[in-house]
Amino acid sequence: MFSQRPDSRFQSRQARVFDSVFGPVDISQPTPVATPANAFATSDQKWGVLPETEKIALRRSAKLFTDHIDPQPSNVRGTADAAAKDEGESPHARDQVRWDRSWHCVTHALVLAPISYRQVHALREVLRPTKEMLDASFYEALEDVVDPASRVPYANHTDNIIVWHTHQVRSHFLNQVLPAIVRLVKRRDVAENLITGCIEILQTAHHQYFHGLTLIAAEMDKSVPNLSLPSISQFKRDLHAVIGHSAMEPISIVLKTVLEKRVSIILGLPQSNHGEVGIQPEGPASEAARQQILALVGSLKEVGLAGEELQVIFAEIMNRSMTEYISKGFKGRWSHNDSEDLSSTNTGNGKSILPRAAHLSSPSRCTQDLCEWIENRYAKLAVQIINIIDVDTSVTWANKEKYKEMGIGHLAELRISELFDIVVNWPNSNGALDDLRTSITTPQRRLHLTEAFSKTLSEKLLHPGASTLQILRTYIAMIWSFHSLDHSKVLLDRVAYPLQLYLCSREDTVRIIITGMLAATETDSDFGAGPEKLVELAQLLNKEGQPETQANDEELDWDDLEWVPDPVDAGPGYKRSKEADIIGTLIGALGSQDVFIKEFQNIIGEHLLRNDGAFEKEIKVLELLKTRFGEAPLQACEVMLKDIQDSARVNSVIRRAEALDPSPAEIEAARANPQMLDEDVDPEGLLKPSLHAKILSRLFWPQLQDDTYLVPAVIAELQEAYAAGFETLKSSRKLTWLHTLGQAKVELELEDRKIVEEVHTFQATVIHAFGDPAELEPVSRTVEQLVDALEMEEPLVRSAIHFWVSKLVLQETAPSTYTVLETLNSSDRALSNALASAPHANHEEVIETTNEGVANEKMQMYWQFIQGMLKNSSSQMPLQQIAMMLKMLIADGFPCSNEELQEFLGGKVAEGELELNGGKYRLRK
Amino acid sequence: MNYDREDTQNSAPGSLPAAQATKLAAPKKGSDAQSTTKRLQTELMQLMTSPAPGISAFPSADGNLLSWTATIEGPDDTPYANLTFKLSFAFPSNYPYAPPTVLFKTPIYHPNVDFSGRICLDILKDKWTAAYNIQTVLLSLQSLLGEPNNASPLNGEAAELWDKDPEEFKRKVLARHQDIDDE
Repeated sequence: MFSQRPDSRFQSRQARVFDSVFGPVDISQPTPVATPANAFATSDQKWGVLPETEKIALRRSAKLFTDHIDPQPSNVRGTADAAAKDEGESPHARDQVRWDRSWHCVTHALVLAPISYRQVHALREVLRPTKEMLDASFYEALEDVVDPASRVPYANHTDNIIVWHTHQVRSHFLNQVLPAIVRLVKRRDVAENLITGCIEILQTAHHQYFHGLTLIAAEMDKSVPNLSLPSISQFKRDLHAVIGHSAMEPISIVLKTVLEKRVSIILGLPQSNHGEVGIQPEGPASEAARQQILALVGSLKEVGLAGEELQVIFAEIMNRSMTEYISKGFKGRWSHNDSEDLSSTNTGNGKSILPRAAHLSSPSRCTQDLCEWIENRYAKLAVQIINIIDVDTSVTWANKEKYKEMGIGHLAELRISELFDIVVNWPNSNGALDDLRTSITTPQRRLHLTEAFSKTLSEKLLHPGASTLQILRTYIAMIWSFHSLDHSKVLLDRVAYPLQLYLCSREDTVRIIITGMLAATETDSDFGAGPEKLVELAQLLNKEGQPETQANDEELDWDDLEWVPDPVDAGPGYKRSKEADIIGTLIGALGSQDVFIKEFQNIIGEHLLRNDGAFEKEIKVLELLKTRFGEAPLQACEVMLKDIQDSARVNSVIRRAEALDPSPAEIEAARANPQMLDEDVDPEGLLKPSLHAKILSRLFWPQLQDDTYLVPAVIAELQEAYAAGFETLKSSRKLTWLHTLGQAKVELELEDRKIVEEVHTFQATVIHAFGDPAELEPVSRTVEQLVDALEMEEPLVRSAIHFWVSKLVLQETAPSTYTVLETLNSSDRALSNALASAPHANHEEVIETTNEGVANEKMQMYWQFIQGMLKNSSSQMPLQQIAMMLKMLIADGFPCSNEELQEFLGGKVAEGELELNGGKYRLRK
Repeated sequence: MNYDREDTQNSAPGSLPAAQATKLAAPKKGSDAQSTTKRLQTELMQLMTSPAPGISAFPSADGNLLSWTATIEGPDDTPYANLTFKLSFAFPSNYPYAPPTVLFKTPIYHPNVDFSGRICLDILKDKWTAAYNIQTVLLSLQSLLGEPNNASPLNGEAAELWDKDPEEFKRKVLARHQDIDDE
């Protein structure tokens, strides 16, 4: 009806053809009273409604006239029948004419006027036909039409006026009212005005339709009371069906906007354009909106728009508003400190408002808020509106429970989507975890949680861009968070596996964990303060006692009132444990025991060599590892510790025996000397140089890097004396000196200043080479000279020189030539002071170079393997096979990728040690 | 590699029967394949990190740790100077409690080696202990090249010539020697 039908032109042409033959039909013309009826209407013909059928009827009328004469009038017909006969007229024709006239009169009066919708409101003013327009003849005619059986018994072709009215109403509605509504909706206006306009139109149409009906109904009820009721309800149903199916579509969008607005005000949802956050409490505004929406829905119901469509719209709105409420109200709010004041208000009533399913544990703040909201506002609104829409459905308590569960489901969904950030923000996100704990009540939800989390985890964390430290931090936060979610660790195990797998592929994982455990906690006490180390672990280690070992007995602990059954989704290898046990999980999860112990050995070795002291932390970690791995694998570490402890004792014995310590007499003399400063009286400083040693059992220590070089002669002498002392003490053993591993305290006396530094031995050796007392001028040396004189490798020499340059002791006077800086100018002096306050600036760099040394040494070993392989196994091998053999045969694993290996082998080819032939490597002979 | 000679290759006059040799090793039979592999891996690492001059050994190219190939360079002041010899090692599953089966793959003219490469050396038979390893075996074999045990020869002619005619011996050694290529 809105678009031009393609065949409409054809139809109009057809109509013209008919008209030229039969003459245009004037439907407003009643059958002339004087003219005897020569044509009867067919039984289903309606006046003034369907011209098309009318025409067909007219064409057929002559034939029909003969057909419809009743040859045997029945006896039941009453006096009118007889009277008609008396008049000498056919009673059939007379009744039929009378009926036709009455029908025409009634329909003419009741016909609905087409509305000119320029003035829509005209429709509202007068109900047609008005009382004044109706005269006695109308009521007379109406009687005939309503009860043809008794009034015009011989009329063969009678019709039901109510059916006619229904038909007329339907077509009037579709052709007149609906376009008016569509036009109205298309106007640019506030949605509220539009919807009220629509409802007004509909109401008016309604009144109009029912006005006609009531006239008919009144007539029907005259004879038999309540006769009209079934017809009226039938009419009503038809009308509502028509309206509901056609009128909803154009106005649904507008209606949705209006409803949505009201609902969000009632439920206290913040309006998006206001930029407010948080849920508005109930107030006069929401109460007003409630009244409005109830009135609106009431009138919608009245005009027949409260059908299925409205229910669907309403359901959608309610669903959306729940999601909205949750996301606006709870998103990103993970701790509840900010809303503490609200919490106290509603906890007073004794009975819990949570649905039963969520009763497992103490409810969280958000779930409580949510349930209160649903109980007090959401469910209330839903009940009120549903009661208006449909009287048959009543909202029960069970529905309310269902709403709450839905709400909690939405909340769980939200929190699950935020879970990664929640975990990262641990421990500031306890509230959110509480929410999750309360809301993940079903195995499905648990599964969804782990799946969603694993996905985000692998997207956000398990990629090369994230540092291992960061991953480990997250892992620790995960352990904590998931532990507070679910003590059983089932969830954690499900999400942690890919993480563990990934961590195993990172080389530095174990190192970071162990350094973390050994890190100093005293210096930075607050969390997250140590960006380079996992200080958390050290703190945990200090806090935690021994891990619980009797976890297995828990099943038999009959007095445990906190006991809960294993989670339904626990795997077969499930073991319960109540502790979060971060360290245990980390150690247990990452790599094999061997790798872990090996790394621990390396690190502890480094620590033992670098520091002096009691090594309490190391011992503690060692004890922890022992309880986990057993004594045997950690024996080497035990020995290492013991070595260090023994060394201290042996050291003092040897020094005494070899007279390396200053004698009491000398100390006395030094004290007596007034020129000596107090610090020099320290026995250590008295005899210079002095030597202390740590004696290591070679077999039990990890491979230690040893760059050989010539130690200064004075030191070498001391070493000899010391070794002699050791050999007298332990007759069958021999000392081998590892020059690079020691520490040296160096005192440099320059012309204008004195420098005291704790340095590596190679650094001390290099600076010693500059200290030639014979020369008066500042001593200068080239790198080559130093390499030759000290038999030290060049990178090491350069590293040491670099160190001293940064300390402003040396300066580069020519390329690769360095001179002692005996006097400082003023700017240098300022720099020197600054340096003094920030020592160990380039400590890391030195470590790095030594690490590189170790790596080179490793490569050298792999080269041995490759040589052995090509010499013995097979004289020529492709890269793949070499890599495979190395991976298989080297017990610690071969860390290089194929590309690195190829590069290395390429280097060997360039050096002439290998030749590459047809993709295979072979040794050059 | 020919394993069916395993039982016979080390049997020289006066040596213990094989059954008795295994009985000697019996008390320590509890070792499993894994510890054998581990031991061999350790030995390999040792060989690679502290190689001895003139000898080398490596598992076979198929990655089977129980079968190795070794190379010995002839010691300088012997008839074998400048020659290299390949050997095969087949380790029993209870190694190191039983000796490996060692054969010369390169043809060699030597009083204590027969023409199929079998070796007569006491530490490969009754004198074997778990303290020996591949490196020591190879070093022993290297020294055997310079100092054959002519008292119990497998190759009588060679034993005779070693003492009587070093020139002829050297000639025979060179004539017999030919480099084998494994592919």
